[in-house]
Amino acid sequence: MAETLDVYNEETLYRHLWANRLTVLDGILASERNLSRALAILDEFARTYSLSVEGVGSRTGKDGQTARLTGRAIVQPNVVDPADRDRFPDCPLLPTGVPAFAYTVESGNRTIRPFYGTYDDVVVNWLLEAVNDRGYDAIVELGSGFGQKLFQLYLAGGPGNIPYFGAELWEEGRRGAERLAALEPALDFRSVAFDFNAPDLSFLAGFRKVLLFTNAALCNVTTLPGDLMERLSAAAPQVMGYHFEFVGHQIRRDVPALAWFYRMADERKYNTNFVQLFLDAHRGNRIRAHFLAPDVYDVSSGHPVTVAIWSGGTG
Amino acid sequence: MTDALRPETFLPHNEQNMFQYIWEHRLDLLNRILANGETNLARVLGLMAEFNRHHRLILETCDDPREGNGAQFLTGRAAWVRETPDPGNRAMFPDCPVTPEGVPLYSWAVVGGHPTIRPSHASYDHLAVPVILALTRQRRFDAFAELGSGFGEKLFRLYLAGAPRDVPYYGAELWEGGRLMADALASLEPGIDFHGVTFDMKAPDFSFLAPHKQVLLFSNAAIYAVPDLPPDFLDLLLDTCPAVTGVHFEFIGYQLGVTSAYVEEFNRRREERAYNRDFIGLLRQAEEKGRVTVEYLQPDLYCVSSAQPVTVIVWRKT
Repeated sequence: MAETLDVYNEETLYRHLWANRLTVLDGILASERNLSRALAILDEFARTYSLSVEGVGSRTGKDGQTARLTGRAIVQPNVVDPADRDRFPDCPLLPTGVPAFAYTVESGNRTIRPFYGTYDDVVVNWLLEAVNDRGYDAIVELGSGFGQKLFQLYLAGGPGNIPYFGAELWEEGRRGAERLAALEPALDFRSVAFDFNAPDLSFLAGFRKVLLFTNAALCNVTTLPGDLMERLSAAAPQVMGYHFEFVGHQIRRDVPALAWFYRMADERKYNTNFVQLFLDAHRGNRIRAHFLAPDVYDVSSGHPVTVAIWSGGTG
Repeated sequence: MTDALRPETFLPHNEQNMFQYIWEHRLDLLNRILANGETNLARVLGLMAEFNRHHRLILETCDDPREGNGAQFLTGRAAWVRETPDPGNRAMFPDCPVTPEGVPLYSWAVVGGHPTIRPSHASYDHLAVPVILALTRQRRFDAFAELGSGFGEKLFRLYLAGAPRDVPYYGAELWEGGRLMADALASLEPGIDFHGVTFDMKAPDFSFLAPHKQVLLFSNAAIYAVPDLPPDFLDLLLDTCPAVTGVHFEFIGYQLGVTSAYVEEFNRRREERAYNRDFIGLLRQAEEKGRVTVEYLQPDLYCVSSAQPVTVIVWRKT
């Protein structure tokens, strides 16, 4: 029914994607009442299948004007790292049928890791070091989706007696996070609407010392507002910020092992100005930059994560 | 030190007594976490892992208090000593950036026999879990069992990773402290059908598996600590179970003749501590008798902390 088709653009694509993701989550929650298990099965689904949205027409017209989205989910099994088999023709297979090793890039250097050593735990382990026993009274993830990283932080032993804010643009993401949080009554989870293009952190009014973080979130916003860092810093008297983002191409573009990532960052219009905002805010004494390291580790075959850490606040 | 000196707790310094005290203090740590009101299994495992990342248990020793003959005794007192993260790595990577929290950015790791680096915040400690989980997706089992399960961490992590709920999980462990901890942890999660059983690798009794038709049995850093298994270890298991798949993650690559310049520290430790010598031999004998099929055998696939190379084995009863 053509009249129900949406024009293909970023807005409609993400809306349909989130609706389909929520359907997957609801399917998991129909039989799982344990938060850890539900998160793990959701991750397993994401590793095993790719979820996309059915389209009709052609995207070759200018700005994709001729393309439409039906909204129907397309679920396809992921082919396990074929690129790694090409790179390691002698790589043994595990008994599960996947290559024993995966190709990765650490600090710009090619290396290998165990296939199942996916580095998915880096963000949570890093934040555990940052948050425990340091007197924070709130934790916030910006662009939190279903809140997986927040929940994993809590389940890994993060503070048990302070609120965890999941700040997300998409309503379906917020609804999914609320349904997951409902599995764990002891967790003080609060879902809030948040848009990187118009950042409003007024939900943090009254909190004194806040840790906020992003994980593969602001990299999806091509151009962030010029006053982003000031707004984040003004969220509370004391703010500590951690960012795990695909923004290393803003620092250097000369690492041969990352040539594929540089092309992808351009094609997908990854963020172009976070590092500049971060450095400008530091130089202008609006935040204090503590750490900025490009391409520290690599997730999922060629996504190098840059880590930026800062402190600020109104107090 | 955690308690007052009690001479009656003095025990000769040997492996048996050392493990008894280690388990006592681990149990004490768990009880302290539970006393803080923690009721979520994943959080309790996480808090214990977090504590263990930053602390090392030191058992106090002394000379024989009665004889003065130079024999070493364990006093029964212990201290959890806080450690800086990965201090060894600072010597290996003097130029390695350090995070604001004081953690070196990278750690040394051996993967597939090659020296590599990994992010210090990434852990290979639980790589057994996704491998076993993937096997449970490929084959149907009616029981999971871990030999030398300690406090059941791998079993619990397997369950929390989404492994089947409708089968029993057996934690088979020699030390009472480990079994007590596993029971306390299992009681936090009503969804898991956990059974702690007493199990001695040197006198194995597999009768707890007899009711099951298709068992997945695994070990993780457990068999390596038993210098010599009984010659009939596998026969006893195979006689008990109509069908069983064995999965092992053990530090026994040297039994396959694997040597590596990158695991010298491990080889020194292995010789000092009398690591297992015969598991691969027993497996080969069972294979020659046509009792098992070795489906997978990969020595020194990856290393966990401090260059402990893990050999991965999968076999199935023929």
